[in-house]
Amino acid sequence: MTERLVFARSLYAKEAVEQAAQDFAELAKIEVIVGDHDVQLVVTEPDPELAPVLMDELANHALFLTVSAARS
Amino acid sequence: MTEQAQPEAETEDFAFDLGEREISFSIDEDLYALDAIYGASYLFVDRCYLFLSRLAERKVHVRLRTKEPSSEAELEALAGEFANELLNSQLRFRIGRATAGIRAQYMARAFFGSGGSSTIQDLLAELDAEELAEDALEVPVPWKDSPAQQKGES
Amino acid sequence: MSARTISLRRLPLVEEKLSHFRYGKVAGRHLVTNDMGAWHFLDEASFEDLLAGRIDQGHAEFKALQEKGFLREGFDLDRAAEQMQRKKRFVGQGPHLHIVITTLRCNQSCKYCHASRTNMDRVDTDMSLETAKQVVDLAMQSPSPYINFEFQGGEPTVNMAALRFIVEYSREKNKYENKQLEHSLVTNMTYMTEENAEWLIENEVLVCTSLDGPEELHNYNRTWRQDQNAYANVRKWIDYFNRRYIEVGRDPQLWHVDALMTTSRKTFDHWKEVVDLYLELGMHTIFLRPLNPYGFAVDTWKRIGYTSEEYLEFYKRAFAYILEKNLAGQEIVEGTAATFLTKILTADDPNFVDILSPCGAGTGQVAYNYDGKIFTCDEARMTSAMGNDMFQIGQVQDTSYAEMHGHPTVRAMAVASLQDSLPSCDTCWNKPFCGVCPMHNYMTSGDIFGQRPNSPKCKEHYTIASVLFEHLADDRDGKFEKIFRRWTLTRPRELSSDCKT
Repeated sequence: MTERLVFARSLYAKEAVEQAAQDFAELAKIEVIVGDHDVQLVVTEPDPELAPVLMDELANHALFLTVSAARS
Repeated sequence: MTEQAQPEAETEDFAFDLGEREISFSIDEDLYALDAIYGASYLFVDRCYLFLSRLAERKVHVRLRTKEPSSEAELEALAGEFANELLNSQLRFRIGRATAGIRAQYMARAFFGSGGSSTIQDLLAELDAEELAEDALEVPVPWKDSPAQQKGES
Repeated sequence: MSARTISLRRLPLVEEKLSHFRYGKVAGRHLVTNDMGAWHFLDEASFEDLLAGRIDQGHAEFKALQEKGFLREGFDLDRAAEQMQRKKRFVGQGPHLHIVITTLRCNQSCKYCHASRTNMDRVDTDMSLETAKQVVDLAMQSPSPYINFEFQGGEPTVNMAALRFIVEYSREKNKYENKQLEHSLVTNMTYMTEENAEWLIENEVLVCTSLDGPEELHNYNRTWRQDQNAYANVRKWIDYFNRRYIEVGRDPQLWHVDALMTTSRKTFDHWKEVVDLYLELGMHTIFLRPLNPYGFAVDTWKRIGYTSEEYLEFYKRAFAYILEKNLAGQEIVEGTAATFLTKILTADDPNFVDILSPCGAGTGQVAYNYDGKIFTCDEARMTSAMGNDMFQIGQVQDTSYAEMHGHPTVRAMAVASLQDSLPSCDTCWNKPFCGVCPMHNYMTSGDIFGQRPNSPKCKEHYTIASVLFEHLADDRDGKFEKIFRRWTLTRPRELSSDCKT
């Protein structure tokens, strides 16, 4: 099963999304596709136990890293 | 002596959609700085899953999905809470930006023993002289490496 | 999906009239605070006046707000800088608290002690005298004018030789360094002997023990040998030390055994008796300390653990009772509240390493394990015992003071605890009084920065500060402030971090 998150680069820091993908690397296979206007995370093979919340948690983590980067 | 007009509070409508376990709404960046939207959103990461998207220029669409099942009344309360936090976050952003120069001065003196202007008047004069490219709509610059930014699109 | 609308009221803001401040709603009023640690309560109308630039001479709040630095008009930069500097005096002073683990051996196996003790036959976890000497040589290089060697374990008195050596050698060395030097011991008293007790008294080593509450509770939490009563033993030695201090002519106000309690789920049923016991024993301070919620096996946590909300309910009940006792004339201080109150009511910071920004990891405190490994703090040392050496910043055998102090991990911890750059902290009204523990963040979330809305420590600090301000907001006759101010008085004996770690 493949799921996809599309983050607008004007709202999420590219580095934050990349870092979020890296932080979640043990929980799923995550491919990062950087475009001009967005960063996409293509998620496959999620940890079965976490699969129901994985995409949501990943999005929250990307938001947290984005906000942290903006404030630091 | 002419009495100066006092600024008054403004009212505005905050429209949102309510679905199963989620609320969503659009925020106008002409009214709220992106930093304020971040600040308000971040406060809800313990209770909600949040996702921000760009549906139109200068409009930020925010979706909050609760981590636990929620009644309609709870979702309505959540929308109200977010709206309040957004107002506060915008105020805090503006206070922070308006006083950044003063803060920088006393911090510099406290930690490095110097800081330029010796009086508040000198500092204010300095700030005036800076002629900052003030954005009348009080919108901060988002990600400087954003291609959309570079093209002046967002 | 259904569409709804609510009406919002946006307050006007006149930016050019403002000085920097943070705000929040406490006790139904607006609490404004600033970097200098000043605070002021405003009603709704006055708060709106502040934002709208309507606080001019003649306004009822003008004088107070100007004096406290909340208005642009008359803002005194030099004074603000001095106040700020005083509040942050601890920055750059160098580590003052040097925690020395003389051994991991311990003859108790407490329910909440995880991975930081070994059985009594593990003599290989004793600190050697050579390592002890290297610890002192390194620690005394700190530029801090005040140095406190705090002995922890395991049970530190199991390796009395190392303890005695460090006290004597550091005293000798201090003849040339001329620092304010103190030694404190955190002991469960189970290995105490009269000979050791007399040596500790004679050598002015401050003694702090663990006392979790009445007999049933203390013995439940602090498992000892089956035929031994840990509670009776600790009471015996508290009495012994306190009696001997008087007999040798020490001022009992300054010289007495302090005690630490750790809150377990079982404490919730005995909270009143715990406070009563501390009062009965004449203890000056009680720290209603929560468990560190990490490192437990799931079944252990179920038995003794609890949520932040449960802890804070307990805290509020016990705090109210402590305050009630103070109002009735008894003198006992709640430790965490006193730390916040010193920040709220005085011009200083108590330099309590757990509630600082930037935190004290490696800059205010250092922990030295029995084998000479150096850690940013004692929690980091415990993390190492669980197999994670991420927070090790050196080894006494071959690390210089500059290497230890300038270690990248020390810098990372400082950055991760700098509230000005942490979302939510940067705008929180409690920012001038609060602090961040990156180690706690790491252990609860796997990230030294942590997410504030998900942080139990943030909830704890925010709630405790709120409770204090609620009392200050509604204190017309000043009875609470009078007690709170007394709680902030620092006697020389309490300059030590003894019983605060």
